[in-house]
Amino acid sequence: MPSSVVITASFLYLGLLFAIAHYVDSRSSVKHVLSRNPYIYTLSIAVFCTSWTYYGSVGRAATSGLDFLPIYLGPTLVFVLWSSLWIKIIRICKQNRITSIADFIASRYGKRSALGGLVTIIAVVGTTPYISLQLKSIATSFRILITYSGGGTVPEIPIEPIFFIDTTLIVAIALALFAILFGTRHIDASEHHEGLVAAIAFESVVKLVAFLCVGVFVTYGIFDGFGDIFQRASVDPELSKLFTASNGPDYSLWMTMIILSMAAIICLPRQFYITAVENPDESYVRKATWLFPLYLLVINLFVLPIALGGRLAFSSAPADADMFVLTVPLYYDHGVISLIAFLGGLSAATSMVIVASIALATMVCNDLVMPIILRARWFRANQNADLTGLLLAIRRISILLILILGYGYYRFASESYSLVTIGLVSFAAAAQFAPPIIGGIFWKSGTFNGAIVGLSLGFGLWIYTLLLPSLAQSGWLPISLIEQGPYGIEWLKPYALFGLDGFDQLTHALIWSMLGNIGGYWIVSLLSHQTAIERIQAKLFVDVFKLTEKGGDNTYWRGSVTVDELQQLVGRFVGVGKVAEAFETFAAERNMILRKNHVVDAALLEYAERLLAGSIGSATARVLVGSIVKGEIVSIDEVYRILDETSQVIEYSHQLEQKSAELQEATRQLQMANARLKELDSLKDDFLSMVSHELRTPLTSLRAFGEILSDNPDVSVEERAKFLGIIITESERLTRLIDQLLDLAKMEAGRMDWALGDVDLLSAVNEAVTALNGLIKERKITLTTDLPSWLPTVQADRDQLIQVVVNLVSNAIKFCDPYDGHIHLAVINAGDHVTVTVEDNGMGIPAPLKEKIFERFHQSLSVTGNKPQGSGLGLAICRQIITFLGGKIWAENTQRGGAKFTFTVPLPVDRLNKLDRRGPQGMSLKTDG
Amino acid sequence: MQRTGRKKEWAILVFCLFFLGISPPLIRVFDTPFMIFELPMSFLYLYGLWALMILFIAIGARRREPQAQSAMGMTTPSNDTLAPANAEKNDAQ
Repeated sequence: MPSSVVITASFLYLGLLFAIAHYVDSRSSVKHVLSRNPYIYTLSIAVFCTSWTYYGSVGRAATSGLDFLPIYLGPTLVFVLWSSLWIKIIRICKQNRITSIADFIASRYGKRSALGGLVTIIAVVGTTPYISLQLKSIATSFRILITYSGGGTVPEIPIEPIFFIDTTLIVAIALALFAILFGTRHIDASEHHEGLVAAIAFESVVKLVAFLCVGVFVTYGIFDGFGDIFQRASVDPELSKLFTASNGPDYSLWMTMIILSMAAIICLPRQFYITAVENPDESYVRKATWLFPLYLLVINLFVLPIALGGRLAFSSAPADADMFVLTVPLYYDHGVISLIAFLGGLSAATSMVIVASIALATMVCNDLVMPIILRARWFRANQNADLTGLLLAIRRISILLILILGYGYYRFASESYSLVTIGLVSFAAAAQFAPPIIGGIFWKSGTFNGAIVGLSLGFGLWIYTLLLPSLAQSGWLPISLIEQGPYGIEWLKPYALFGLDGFDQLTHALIWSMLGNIGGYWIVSLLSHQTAIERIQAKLFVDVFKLTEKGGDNTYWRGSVTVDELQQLVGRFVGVGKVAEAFETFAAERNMILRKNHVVDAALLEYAERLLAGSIGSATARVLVGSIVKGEIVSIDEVYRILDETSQVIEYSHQLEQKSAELQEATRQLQMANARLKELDSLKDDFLSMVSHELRTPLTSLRAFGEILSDNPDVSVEERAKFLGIIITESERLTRLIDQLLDLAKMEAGRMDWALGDVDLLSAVNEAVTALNGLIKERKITLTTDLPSWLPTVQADRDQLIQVVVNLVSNAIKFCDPYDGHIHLAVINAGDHVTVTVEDNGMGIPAPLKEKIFERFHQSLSVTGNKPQGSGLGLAICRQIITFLGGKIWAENTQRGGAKFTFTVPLPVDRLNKLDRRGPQGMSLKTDG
Repeated sequence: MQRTGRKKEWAILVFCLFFLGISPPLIRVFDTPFMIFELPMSFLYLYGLWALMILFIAIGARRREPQAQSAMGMTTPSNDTLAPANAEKNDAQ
């Protein structure tokens, strides 16, 4: 095929890519539709499928069978765990404006640039073989396509350079220019590059369609379907070996590749960049989690058929199996299909190179070069120069250097290796990031020292067991290094370190590097202490779900920089206009006005740091912000306060305890109130039965005598008079009872009409005694009195006072000894009050009832023990009256066995004084009455 | 059917199944060049298992429609007993 056609097609294709990116970036509506949907996202993750997949898988399948599959089974396994792994990583990236995997790791372990730099170096060195693989595949496929003359012959790979210089170098430079044009149009690396993502997604479609084209062509065009190919191959014992994943019972390489690819899908810088940093919306992962494995499955469907088809076609002569995708259609003279195959391979390679070089350049710039520049003496952070140009220049040069490095590795080492072997070396390097990442997002105690020791050990062992031997085998180092070990030391042989034999090179390297990496990370983490910022970051990463769901506060800056200073600083790296805009948005979101000379608060500093982090990485951003903040990082104590969640938990549980105690108290009170209510309820029942009983007795006799008088008109006059007398007495009793009830009700409700005035207590007592004289005589009771000759008058309601004495004395009459009753009534002037006691010689009051007897309707059993006597209202009324008059009433037992009721009434002088002193309260007391 | 919130458990199950399926003891059983339905046994087994797992992942990643309701449904086991009661109430209405 003429080279002009191939070159034109290639450049048209690359132009189309650029046009897509540009179109998407410039049309915001298209940008929205195209970039913000899960399918584009899924297709962009498919950047995982590179030339390795496109050409290398077939090559692998044609030489060792199904063992090309682990590279795709591993990512499927990882995507099974999307909800706990990917969502977490993506959330962390969004929260902290992470721009790359180096940024991620550095940020997790305290934002220190040393770690970011180490990660960057590992990533660059580790990715170099991978890039060389792409260059090799493009260059090889290009040379085959333009030199192949016609069908039926076995294609050979021409060695001589075209256009007088190496094709691969041209490809490398072309791709570098393309990546520079593509990826360094914006400064903010954490901003989404919708155009780039759309172009990558388009490339994923192209490589899939192209590969399926070749697959269908080989399977159904040349052969008669899957069955036919397998049937033909099964005849040849050499080919039927390719039907299996492993020739023999040893699956160590198979398992190693699964583990490596699991690590790679997370840790390859470009995968991390596309999946986590460029993710527009977490929820897209939900779709991508099964669509991406499906993409992998579909693109791998025809790998084995093409490989077998190639082996069957070129059975006569040896051919480069890595190029079967291209050479099989060529062999059968289908130029268009081979051109499609070439373009597919080109798309697979360019997508990887573009994304990887952009991701790596960002890392080199942010985590390697900028920290050094910022620390250099000649550079002063406080100068006012626009640094966006410098940042762009660093990134562009980095891209170029990375591709040159890839080319160098291709020249030095990879020409003799198959594509998959080269790629696996890269995977093993990327896998070194897995312990600090996985440990970092699930384990809070991982420390900076642990990460740096683990990574260094792992990387060192990777170099020693994979990279150096590959250079040795290519002749750049003495081959004795592999065969005899360095300086002839047997146990240092790179492929059998410390005598570990019997494994393939990859498994051997993985075992040692992971042992060093995980072991170093783990042991040193436990032995070293975290600084305050490491603690904060560890918490921010591990608890990202908890923190984002309740809007956690991670402000740890406290300083006295002004808004203007901060804006200038950020502006130099991000662009002045953009920063002004961002600050305005920030202020608008919080409804505040930013004045230039205001001291910034922690939230704005945090925001500025994130803005900076978006363009120069978090470690550098921190150093920069630190350079202008005049205060310092908040004290350890405060950090602990923010961090120490346990204290919150303790506080919370303390509150819970308090609440439950309160609840218990409330319950107890409720229970008491309930018991009281029950008691009152039964009291009410008693009251009602009592009232009805009390009313009924007089009513019955009234009715009975009334009926007698009505039915017997001839009742004698004496009897009539007697009966009428009874009727009158009973009605009086009834009236009295009802009066008492009414009085009590009124008193309790505070609506009693008191006729307060100066009362001579002695005369009131005498009147009461006189009123009861008849009864006393009737019962043959001895009443003795002990009255002073003179008493001052008291302020009281005379009738009510008499009522109290009558009640007490009549109570005494009821309860005193029925055969030899004695009642003693005494009035004592006690200075500020008068004490009146009524004592009887009855059975006394049981101690628990001393209070109860003053309640309504409490009736004591009579001495005879049958029917309760009285209405049970007397003492209740007494208490109401005495309490109202300001005195006290109580009951006690005398030493001789009777009961003694005592009440006091305050004397007027005292009362007047009190009134004066109390003022309004005393008045209100009066009006209440 | 209340399964929301078990996403994680489902994912772990699928992960273990898949991992065991492609690990030595099991894969040794199926990794033979023996032909079945005109296709090699290993080819059929690996691609079949892979496809099945993708189906399982898709099942696990389905979005539940009544998001809020089902999210609440997992808070306490007692909701299992509550759910029928609510359903009856709805029926009654």
